[in-house]
Amino acid sequence: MKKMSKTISKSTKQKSRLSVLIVDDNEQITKLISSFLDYSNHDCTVVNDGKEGLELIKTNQYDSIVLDLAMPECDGHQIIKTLQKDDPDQLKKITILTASNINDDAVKKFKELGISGCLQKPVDIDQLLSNITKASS
Amino acid sequence: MYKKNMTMEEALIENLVLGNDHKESMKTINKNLLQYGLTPNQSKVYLYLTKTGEKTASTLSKSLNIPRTESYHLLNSLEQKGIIFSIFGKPTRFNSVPIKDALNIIIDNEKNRITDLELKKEKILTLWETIPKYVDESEKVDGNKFQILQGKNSILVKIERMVKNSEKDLMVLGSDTNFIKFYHTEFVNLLKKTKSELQVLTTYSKKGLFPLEGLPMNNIKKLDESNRHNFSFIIKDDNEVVFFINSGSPELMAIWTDSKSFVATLKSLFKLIWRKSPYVLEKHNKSNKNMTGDYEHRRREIEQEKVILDYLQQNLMVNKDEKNE
Repeated sequence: MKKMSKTISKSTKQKSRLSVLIVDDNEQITKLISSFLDYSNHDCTVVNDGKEGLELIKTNQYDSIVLDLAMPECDGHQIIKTLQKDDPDQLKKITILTASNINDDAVKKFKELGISGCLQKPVDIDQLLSNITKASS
Repeated sequence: MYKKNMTMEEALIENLVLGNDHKESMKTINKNLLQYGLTPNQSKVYLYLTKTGEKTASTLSKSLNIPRTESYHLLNSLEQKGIIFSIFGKPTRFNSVPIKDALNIIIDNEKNRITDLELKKEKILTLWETIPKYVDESEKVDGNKFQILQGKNSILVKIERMVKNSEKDLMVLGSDTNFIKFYHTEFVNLLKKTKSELQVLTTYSKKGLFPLEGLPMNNIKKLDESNRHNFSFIIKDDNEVVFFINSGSPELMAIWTDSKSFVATLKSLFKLIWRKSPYVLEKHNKSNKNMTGDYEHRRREIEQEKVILDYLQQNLMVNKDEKNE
C-alpha cells in the first residue's frame, strides 16, 4: 500500500509551478482539488461562483483553468460563451470537469471551440493533473 | 339547378352548384384572397367571374346581391388591379384572368409598390434632414413607451428589429409551437447570426425544435411544461421587451415596451427560470426521470471527492512514514 502511494505521488508531482484557477460551485470539491494541487506544488485559486470566476479570468493570467458546467447564476456554458467573444485565447487553458451528462456532440463542440479537455466526474487524479498541465502548455 | 330567387352566392353556400366538398375550399380561397389585398366583395366578384365565366354588370349585381352602383365600382377596381377585363359590346361584359395569373399579377403589383416605397424613403429622409428641428433634445424621455402589436407581421417587424439592433444580450422565452409560427422568417435567421449573448428557453420536443436548427444548443434550455401556455416574451439588452398576449383569438397579439421597470422585472423572471432549467443538450441523455439525473449528478460529485480524498490520504501517509523513517 505504502509503495503504491509513493508511486502515485511521484508521478503526479510536477516540476514547473503552475497557476491554476478552479471554478466550481461545489465547495468541497474545490477545497480538495486545491489541496492536491497545493500538494503537487502548484498555486491554486478557488472560486465557487461563475460570475466571480469570469471576472478573475478576465483580470488575471492563469496557466490553467478547471471549470464546472452546472453552476447557478452564471454557469460554465456562459463563461465559455463570453470568453469565446471577448478573449478566445483563454479557452485553450480550460479543462471542463463536470458531473453533468455530456454527449458526443457537446464534446465535439467544446473541442472545436479550442477547449483543452472535457472530463466527467469522477476522474482519476493523474488524468486530471495531466489535463491541467496539458492546458497550460 | 338551384332554388328560385336564390343568388349565385347563396347557391354556392348551399352547395347546390359546387357540392359539399368544395364549400370549404371556396371559403379558404376567399379568406386567402383577402390577404392578397382584396376586399370581401372584390374577392366575391372575382371568384364568381372565374367560376361562372363572362357576365354583364347587371347579371353579376343580381347574382351576388350587390347594388348595381357598387358592382360597377368593384368591377372597375378589379380591372385596375389587372385581374379582370372588360369585353366591348352593348352591354359591356366582364371576365376574369385565370387565378394563377391573377395571383402573380397581385404579387408583382405589391413588389413594385414596395420598390417604389423604398425609393421614396430616401427622398423623404433627405428632405426631412433639410427641415430644422423644433424639439428640445433635452426634453426627450427614453423609456415608458408602450405599443400594442396586432398580427404576425407587425410583431415580426418589431422583433426582427430588436434582434438586429441588440448589442448585449437577447433572452427569448416561448413554447416550441410559438417558434414554429416564426419558422422560415428572418427572425430565426437573425437569432442565428446575432453577436449578442443569446439565451433561449423553450419547451423541447424533437418535432418542435427544428425551427431553431442551427442555433448553438448550449444557448437553449428546456422550459418546464407547466410554463408552456402561460407566457412568451423576448427581451433585448436592458431596454426593450415584446410580451405576447394569449387573447384566445387566432390572431397574434403582443405588447412592446421600453419601460425600464418592466424590462428589469421580466429579466429577473427569465434569469430565475433559466437558472432552474436544464440544457437541451443534457436532456438527451437524461431520460425523463429528473430525480435519477440529480441523483446521478450528486453520486459523481461524491465519487470525485472520494477519489481526491483517497489520493491525499495515501500521500499524507507516505509523508508521515517518510518522516518516521
